[in-house]
Formats: sequence, structure tokens, C-alpha cells
Amino acid sequence: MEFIFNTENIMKKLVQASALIAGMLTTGAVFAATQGSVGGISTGDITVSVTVTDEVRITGLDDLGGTFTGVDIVDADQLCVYRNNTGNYNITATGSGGGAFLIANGGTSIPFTVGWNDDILGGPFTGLASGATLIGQNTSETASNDCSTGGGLTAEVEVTILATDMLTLPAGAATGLLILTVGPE
Amino acid sequence: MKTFFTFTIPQRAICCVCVFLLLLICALNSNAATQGTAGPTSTGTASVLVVNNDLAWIKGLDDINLGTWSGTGDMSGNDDICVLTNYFPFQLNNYIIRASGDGDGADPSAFTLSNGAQDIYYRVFFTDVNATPVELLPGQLMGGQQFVAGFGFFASLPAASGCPVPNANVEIRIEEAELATGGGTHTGILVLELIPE
Repeated sequence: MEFIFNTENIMKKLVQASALIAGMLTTGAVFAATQGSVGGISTGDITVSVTVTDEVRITGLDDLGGTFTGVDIVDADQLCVYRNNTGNYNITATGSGGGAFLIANGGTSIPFTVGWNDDILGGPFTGLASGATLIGQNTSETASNDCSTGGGLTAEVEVTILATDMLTLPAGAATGLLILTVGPE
Repeated sequence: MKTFFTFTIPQRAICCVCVFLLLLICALNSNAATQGTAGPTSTGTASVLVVNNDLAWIKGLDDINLGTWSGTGDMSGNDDICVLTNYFPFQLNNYIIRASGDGDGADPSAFTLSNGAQDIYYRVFFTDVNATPVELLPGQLMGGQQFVAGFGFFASLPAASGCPVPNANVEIRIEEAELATGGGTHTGILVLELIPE
């Protein structure tokens, strides 16, 4: 009995299999995509990935202050802190007086203090020291980066200027700048 | 009959005024705050602005008790006080003083002391930096009073310090003829108003 082998076809199959195996060994280390196989229906898949860095945004700021009437000036502003992932944020406040919280009228400057409340629905203000970072703040907006939709404004900042300090200012306007920086945690 | 609208000069002037007022209102209401942008950190700013109007402060006032009349002569007493302002430069600005008493039937500001049944009248003299007393009339404004350079400003006298360096004086004088009509203890309130000029 003779057995006749078609060596040419066998070699072709071996080459194709080898290529397939080589391709699989090569692509498996770089891509997670899987290739379809030949058939009536062929299915493959692709893994899609994207990286979203933590983002924050502070908006809704308004100028603060008032007219001195003989008592401490206390003014607050509700604003928006947006954070795109769940988690806390931190807040750092500085002033324009070389970092210090100062307002000035000509050569005369007086201090103001700053308080922060990360929940406008209640709770006390926490004092902020110039340049110091207050951590662990939450209740941020996650859907809208300017709070125009979603839950609305989220936090509140308050400034206080003591009457005893106001009494040392000459008549007229005294101004300064409050700089607020938020960062994700 | 058609009516034509004519744009006359007075109307243009009114429009210009309206535009100016609108711009002025916008400037006064402008918000200098800046909003943060989304990113790994976000920074916004808010201006802190306070307005200090012209302010005056009269302090160091003490009650004046003239004691018991001996039966003859006039009586007087005085009180050193502090008059302060934040209007800078204070030494170049004057102030107005006005004194008002408990009044009588004719003048609600008359300088009167009452024992409950009758009034006696007193006179009020005020001395500023010039050290020359001027008589104050009930309810009348007396302008041109001058601050002492260096002591008119709030900063030189902290709130809790009282009046360690007075810069004015108020004096009460009761003439013998008035005292002679009185009987018992007469009291009254003298109101002093300090108004920066």
C-alpha cells in the first residue's frame, strides 16, 4: 500500500500556522485587541481606553467688602468648586500684600481675615492662613465645571475687616486682592 | 396728516447724558473678580474693597458736676475731650461743633438744667486748638474749629485708649443770677455733635 502525501499543501499549512502563531505571539504583548477568525461570522474586539486627569475649577467669584459703618465689615461670597472625579479638594488662599491678606489706601494698609466653608448648606467657616493649604474639602460639583447645572454653588468664602483696623484708615477706598487656588486630592 | 418725528439737539443731549449715566453705572457695578479655568489646579481672584466715608469721633466726654453753690458768684466747670476724624490730611481740615441742651418751651435746644419744677440756664464755651474759647449757641453750628495736627486722626488714638491727649475743651458756666433762681439739684444733658467740614 502506498501513501501519497501532498507535501506542498502540508508546507503551506505549516507556514500559515506558523505565521498565525508568530503574529499572535507578537501582537499579544502590545495590543489587547483580538482578531476575528475565518467563518460565516467573524468577530474581533478592540479595547478602548482613555485617561482623564483629575481636574478642578473655581468659579462664581465676586468682589468682597463694603462700606464702613463703625462695626466690623464681614462679607461672604458663594462660589463653585468643580472636581471631575469623586474625592476631596484642597484650597489655598493668598493676598496681594506680598502674600499677606492686606488692603491698602495709599501708604496705609490693614489686614483682613479669610474663612472657608466647603458646604454652603451649613457648617462653620474655617480660617485660612495666607499660603497654607486647607485639605480635605469636599462637597464639590462633579457634573458642571461652573455649577450652571447640577447641584449649584458649593462653597463659600468670607472676609472680615475689624472696625479697630478700619479706624486707622484715612477716608476713601482701600483695596486688596484675594487669590484662591483649588487642587484635587 | 402725517406726523414727522424730528430729532432735536436737546433730545441728543438727553441721549448723551443717558449713555454717560449708563457707563457710569456700569463702571460702578463692575466686578473685578476673575474666574479659574479647569485644570490640575484652578485659581480665581476676588478684589476686596472697603469704603471709608468721612468719619468723626468725639470722645473723652465726662459728666460735669459743679458741686454745691455757695450762694454767691458764678460757677463753671469744664471737660477736656478728644475730637477725631479720618479725613486726611486732618490738619488741613476744620470741623463743626454743635451743642444742644434739654430745651425750654421756646427753644428745644436751650441749655437748661432742671430740678423738676424749674429751669436754670447755663452757657457753653468751646475751645479748639486755638485755645480761645468761643461761646456756642443752643443748636447752632459753629464751624471753623481746627484739629490739632497729629491728633485728629483715628490712628493716633486706638479705640480702647479713651482720650489720653485731649485736643479740645468744653466749659459750662452758670451765672450767679441764674443760680439764685434755682433750688435743689438741677441736672440736664448737653449734646455735642462733631461734624467734619
